[in-house]
Amino acid sequence: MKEPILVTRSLRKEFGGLLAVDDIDFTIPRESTVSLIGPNGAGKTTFFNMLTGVYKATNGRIEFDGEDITGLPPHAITQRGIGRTFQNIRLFQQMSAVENVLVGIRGGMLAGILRTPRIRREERQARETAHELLAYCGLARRGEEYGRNLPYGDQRRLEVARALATQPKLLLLDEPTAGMNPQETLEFIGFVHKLREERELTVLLIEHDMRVVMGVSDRVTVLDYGAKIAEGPPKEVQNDPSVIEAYLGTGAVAGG
Amino acid sequence: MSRTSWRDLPLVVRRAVPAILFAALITAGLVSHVLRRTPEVYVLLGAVLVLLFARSAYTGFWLGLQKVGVRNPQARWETQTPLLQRAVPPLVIAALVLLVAWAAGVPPDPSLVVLLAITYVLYLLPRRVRRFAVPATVLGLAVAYPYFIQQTDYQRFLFNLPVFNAFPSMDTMVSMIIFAMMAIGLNMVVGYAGLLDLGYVAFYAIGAYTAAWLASPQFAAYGIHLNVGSVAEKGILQVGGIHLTIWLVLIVAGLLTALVGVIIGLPTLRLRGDYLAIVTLGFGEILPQVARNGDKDGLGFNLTNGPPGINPIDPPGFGHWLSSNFGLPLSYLREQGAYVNFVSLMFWTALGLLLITIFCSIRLRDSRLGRAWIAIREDETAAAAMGIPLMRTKTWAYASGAFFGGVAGAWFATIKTGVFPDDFFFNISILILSMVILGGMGNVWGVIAGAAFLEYLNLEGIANFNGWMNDHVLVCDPNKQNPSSVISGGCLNAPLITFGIYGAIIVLVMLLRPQGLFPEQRRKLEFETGVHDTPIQDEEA
Repeated sequence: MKEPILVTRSLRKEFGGLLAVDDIDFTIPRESTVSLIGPNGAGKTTFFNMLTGVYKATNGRIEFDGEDITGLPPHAITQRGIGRTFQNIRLFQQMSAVENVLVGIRGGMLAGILRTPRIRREERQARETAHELLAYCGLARRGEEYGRNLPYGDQRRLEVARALATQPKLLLLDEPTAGMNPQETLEFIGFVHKLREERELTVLLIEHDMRVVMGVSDRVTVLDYGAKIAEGPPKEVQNDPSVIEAYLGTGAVAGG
Repeated sequence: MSRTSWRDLPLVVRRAVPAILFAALITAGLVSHVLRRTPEVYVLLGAVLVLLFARSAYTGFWLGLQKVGVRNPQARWETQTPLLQRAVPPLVIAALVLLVAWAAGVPPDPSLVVLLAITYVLYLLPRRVRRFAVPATVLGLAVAYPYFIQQTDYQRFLFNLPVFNAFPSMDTMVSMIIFAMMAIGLNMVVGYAGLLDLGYVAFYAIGAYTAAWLASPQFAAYGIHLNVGSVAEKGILQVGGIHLTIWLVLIVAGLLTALVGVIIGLPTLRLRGDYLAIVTLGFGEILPQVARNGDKDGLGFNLTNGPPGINPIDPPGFGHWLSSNFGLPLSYLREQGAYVNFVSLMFWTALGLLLITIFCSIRLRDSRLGRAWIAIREDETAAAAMGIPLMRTKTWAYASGAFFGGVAGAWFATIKTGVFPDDFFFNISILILSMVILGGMGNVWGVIAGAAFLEYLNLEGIANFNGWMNDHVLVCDPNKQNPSSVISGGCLNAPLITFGIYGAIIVLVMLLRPQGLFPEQRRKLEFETGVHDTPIQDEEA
């Protein structure tokens, strides 16, 4: 595999006395798809939130693209090239789909009052890019609809489109297929493949649906009680006794 | 929420209520006749009745036509051209109103007819034209306002407002405009970016004090002398101190206030929601206290001149060059014309400043920055994940809001020709916030309407309404009135409870129309469905 795009070294998070993430060493190879799985409460989302700067790590280091990003605020991390979606969709509900995407597109902030030709051109280009991204994510005709009025699957797609607008090198998807029906899930697997091939993206996925995990991942990492208990290609991890134990409880391996 | 609608009520009630209302109307008419009141009450009650039963009257109208022998009148009407369908109903209503007015002995006022005619023409225009025609007309009427209001017998040209008696005076209009500017400024903070600011009066105070520092003899005692294009009278200039031309003062006041906004914002804007509100409340109290104590005894340096405030502030004007080359007024104070005089020049300038404020506010809203504000308002966590720097974006909201508050404050101080620390109490913050909430958070036009309405009530409206109540509704004997009680001798003294009335208005609006009178489209949605900005908690950060 190629050199890693993201590396964490003994990353640790404690909430008071609760140890949520226990000294995790973790790497994501460039242009790969890596899945993070584990039972509920295993610390997957906490890990995500540390990568994106929402939580500050208690201890440890995060390196992205060769740069130390530990402790940077979320917007700075996004600007360096990590885009994300949320477990419980967090669209800007009172904005249209296009506006949602526009929020993610970078540009000057203050010159808006003057509306110089340059600003107009920037704005026009941003809108074009937004519409292209929407079309890319299969929302070509949904541009003017408010986020909240979109069907569930489209809201998930819009979140991805919005994340893509920040021009990420690494895309973090937090349970992207939660609540999707099997057909939508299948389409989504295809979409992740397309993303990786056409956009040269690296994808980190938190997922419960094993079909998705098996369908898209190059590598799977399993967390349990904040610790990494297994790592490897999907097939291998699937048969790892400690993983089965974590999911099904002690004795399951012996009994099975 | 389910509400019992009129139709769900039993038939007996539905028949009885109008009957009772009519009985009340006739009684009121008789009483007013006996007491020799003018028939305004009668007309007003009639209007209420008409509004209440507009729907029944409408269906009744078509049924009546059918009874008379016209076949399918409604269906046939609806096949007419859209223009005709738009044009006729207002005329019918106008004819009915005229009929009632004629019967009640109230002659229609010619200026009212003119205003209504203008409104009618605007209403008939196609949508595309109307978009430009309405603001242009409103602006035209506003610019012409001093000409009407300053007629010695202006009541011949302008009708009396029902209930509120008179149109707002020039001074009141200027106040309304300035408060509209401040409300627009606060709206950028509260309405656009969703940051509750309970201390906006601080920005108003800083703007006002900046004007006082930069255009008065305040610092003459410290040997600081500077004169840049000031049009103050010779005597005052000889005293010394800093005297800048008002146009520079306005810009500096805005910038300085924005800077203070940034300074206040940097530590406080890390907080969310209620916590931010409490801290801003604190700052709103601190700054006026500094103003009250910033004299020689309190500070060791006479910065604010303490409780008496700084007085006088130089008048505005365009100076010699602009005056002789472009005919602009040299100094506002020297203009003594019947129409073009100090107060109307103040009014026009305030109107100009308001237009600039509106322009900037709308431009900002539609820019990248505006979108970032709305994103933050809706979901901070998601906004940050989209690469929006929270602190910087919020601070810009604070600074732009503060800028216009400062400009408005500087202009207000110039009009009053002085600053007085007692003008900057906490209640002004709440008043401005009420204007924003009443008008409709986020919508510039709504906020202007809210500001104009509340400030009018504040200065004239409640007193006028009180007078009308005493003259026409209550049995008031001024000789028996006790000036310090709200109701005495049959008279009402509503100005005593001005803030109570505001409270009642705000409570009513919150109950009946929580999104404000003219809500922003997005806000309307928010109120219908609620927002869910649940922060991702980080106990340690």
